[in-house]
Amino acid sequence: MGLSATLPNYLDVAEFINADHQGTFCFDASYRPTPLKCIFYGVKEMGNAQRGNNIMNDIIFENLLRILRMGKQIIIFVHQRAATYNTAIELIEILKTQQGHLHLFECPDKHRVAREVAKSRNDQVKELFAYGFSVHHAGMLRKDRNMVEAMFHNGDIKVLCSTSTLAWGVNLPAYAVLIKGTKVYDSSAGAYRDVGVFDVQQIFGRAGRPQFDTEGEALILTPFKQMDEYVKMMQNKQTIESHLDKGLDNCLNAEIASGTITTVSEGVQWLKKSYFYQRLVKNPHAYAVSMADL
Amino acid sequence: MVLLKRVTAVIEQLNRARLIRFNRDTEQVYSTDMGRIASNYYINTETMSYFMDRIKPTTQPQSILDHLAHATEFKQLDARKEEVAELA
Repeated sequence: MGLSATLPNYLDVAEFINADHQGTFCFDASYRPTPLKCIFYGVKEMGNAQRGNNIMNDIIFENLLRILRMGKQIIIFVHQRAATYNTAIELIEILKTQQGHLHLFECPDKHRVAREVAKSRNDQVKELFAYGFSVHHAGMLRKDRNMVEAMFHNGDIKVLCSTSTLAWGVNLPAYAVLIKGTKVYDSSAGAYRDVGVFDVQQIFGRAGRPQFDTEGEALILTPFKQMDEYVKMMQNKQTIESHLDKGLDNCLNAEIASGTITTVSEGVQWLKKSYFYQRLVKNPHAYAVSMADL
Repeated sequence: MVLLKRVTAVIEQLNRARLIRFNRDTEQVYSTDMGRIASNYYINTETMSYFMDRIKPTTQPQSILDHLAHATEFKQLDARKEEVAELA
């Protein structure tokens, strides 16, 4: 039996593992235990980073009030460690300018929990707790991260600002998740790139807790120009291509070392059984091969 | 045809890196000790040939560490601001 994430060209995967038509099943979003409401915001003035950030914070704050009034919690995903704290502080600044909302954010049992929080040496966690916020990223001590996770789980904090590490690392679901901006620094390329489909899927998958909620919410804030791209992405319209060609040297070396491949033609046979070959035949241009060469 | 070209190119490359031996007449391929080490310990072929070119029986520990740090596996690993003090 083979299992894969939902991808539009799942039939290619079926063919790759030699599964016949009757033995191939696609479980799409309608199988989710809690239906997911996706909200996309296209922000127009992202050219000016400061202004774009302010607009995003205003949108986020509006949604915070709406979600907290429902008695629910939210995780805000950002793409840099420093941005977790900065976003929390910026949202708290907005909260301070508007009277009468603090009760929505405060921990219901704040005196007891505050004593726990005071034991931490993380000043940011301590500072944000009074406003029902916290932060979570890989640069924090394991101890502090565990505490934040537990606090969120217990409902002691309402808003958690996190880097995408939380999406991959721990099972911490929330009624709502929000992705603030889609630019992420890629240190291998030394440049900014857009958040990929798998990260978005992983984050969206955190929304809605089957045992508590009847639905979940996922919000994503992108530059207006890219909104369409992300809508398509989440409708599973993006074909998944193979990346085997980029690591072919390591794979062939391993197969030769293990004795699977002993001749050139065995190597060709081996490659023919790959997902790479399935995609190469269907979309040769993606692999720098022309139709004529096939 | 495309597959043959790709496979042959990679085999030639691995042969040059001395991770395998390639007999062009019989079209057979064999692994070498270094090739097996790379495979067993998930070391990039690129890293492996980098080590093979530079690390000799006479290489000093300091240079070995330096070569290790140059492995492509560590390429994406940046020192963070808060780690600089510890490294110095």
